[in-house]
Amino acid sequence: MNKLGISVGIVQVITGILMDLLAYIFPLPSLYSIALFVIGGIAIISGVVLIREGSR
Amino acid sequence: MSRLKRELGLLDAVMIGMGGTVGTGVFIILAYTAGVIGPLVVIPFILTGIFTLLSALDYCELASTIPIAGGGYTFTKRAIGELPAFATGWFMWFGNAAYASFCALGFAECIGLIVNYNRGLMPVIAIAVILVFTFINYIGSREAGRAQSIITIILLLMLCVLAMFGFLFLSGNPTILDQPIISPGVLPFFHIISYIWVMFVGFEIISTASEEIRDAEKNIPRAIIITVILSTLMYTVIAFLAAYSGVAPDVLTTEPVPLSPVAISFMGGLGRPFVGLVGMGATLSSLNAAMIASTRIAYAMSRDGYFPKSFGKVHYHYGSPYMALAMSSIVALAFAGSGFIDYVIYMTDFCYIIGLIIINYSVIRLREREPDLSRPFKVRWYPFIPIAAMATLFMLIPFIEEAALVTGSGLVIVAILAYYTIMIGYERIRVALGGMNIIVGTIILAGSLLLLTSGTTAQTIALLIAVVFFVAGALHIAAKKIE
Repeated sequence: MNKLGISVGIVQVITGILMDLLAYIFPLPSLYSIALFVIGGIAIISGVVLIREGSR
Repeated sequence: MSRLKRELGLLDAVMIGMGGTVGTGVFIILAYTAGVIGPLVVIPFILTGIFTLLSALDYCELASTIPIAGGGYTFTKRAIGELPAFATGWFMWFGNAAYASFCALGFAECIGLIVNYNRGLMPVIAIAVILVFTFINYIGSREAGRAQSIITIILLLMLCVLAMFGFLFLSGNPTILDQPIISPGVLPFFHIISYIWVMFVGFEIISTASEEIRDAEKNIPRAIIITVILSTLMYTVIAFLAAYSGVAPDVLTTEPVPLSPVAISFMGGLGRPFVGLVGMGATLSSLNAAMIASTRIAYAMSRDGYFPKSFGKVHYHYGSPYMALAMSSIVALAFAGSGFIDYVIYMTDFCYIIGLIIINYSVIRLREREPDLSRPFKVRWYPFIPIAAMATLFMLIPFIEEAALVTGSGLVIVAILAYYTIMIGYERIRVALGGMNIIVGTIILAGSLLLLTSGTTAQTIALLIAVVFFVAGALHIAAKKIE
């Protein structure tokens, strides 16, 4: 769990950050950008929790 | 948890309300609406004043019955229950933070009347001013209350001066009143009401400072009613004068600060710096009031366990709830960073409307649940006033801008998720996160298969992302068993 959790967590955090950055490409406020922000946010939170738990 | 000091009187309470009400909207919204529907603009202002008074009366009853910091949120908690209380606090918190952003963006627009600067810097100026007022409120509520009173008194005097010049202008040009009045139909009035609603809800700010107001049972209802009547009167007079200022409607609808050409028409070259300076003061006053309100709501929500306990910490020396203040600032900074002023206006409207609907319903529920409760102020013609207040608010929702409605609906979902996440504990949060990951992974998988061309790089990347979400979801759900 530890190494896998940390690896998936890191990938999720990076994916989340990229999704949030990508949201800026669409003219705000649009449905796409909001959806990307939300999904990116979930990915970042989920990734941080996985890294935290994996490094215990 | 430390308690706040009761050191604000009736004048301070009225000034908090007026500071939150008569502010940024006068400069950014008011004259714009005069450009849209002409002299009939006074009708939506009077109607909005009446609609607001309905909600304000309900607020008076609740604020005098339950004088605890947090405003509408604390009323709903006692009257209805946990989830509606959380939803009210959530929306009033976001609403006030969004309103603070609107004020900060308005301040940036008003600076543009004094100093020429690159319009791209507007969000940067808005962010800087929010940070400054975060620091002022960090120093303490005493300083905030006094600064509020002084700024608001100066603003009201300045607006009276503008109105006086306006009447002098009209008496010197009586023929301007002969212009034909063209009715735009009924629907534009409702569009205008939903747009200007944000200018009237400052009264709500008063009750969020309940724990700092002396003799709260009497002073809060008085302050709320005085605020609504005074602000409606002031708006209607200035809207009337703007409609008859002789400025072309297309100028009023395209200027960043539409009150500026009106003031130029009344006062000549002095009008532009006058509106710039008064506007800067007014926007700062509103910003301060909104920051106070937002902070108090976060403080009360923390006290009741909806937000982390650390948000309820009060500074040992300054007496300010500094952690709640920091959280409110972050939300305000996020809205200000967008730079879309109309979007921020409608977001504020949406949040206040949802919050106020629940609060108005609280009056009915509290009367049913605790009929013998001491009510220093009681709404007359019960239950018609609370029902009418709710009906008028529901009526405004369809007229809110689509993007704000979408974001607002998202906030509803996030509020429900946040509530259950906070209430169910860490272990179950992980299960919830697992579920969310699997749902998001399924959406990405379905989207990539249905919308993207087979075999392309985009589809491959989307499929890989979906797999990451599925694996993360499985890890969250299975975590406890493996450990």
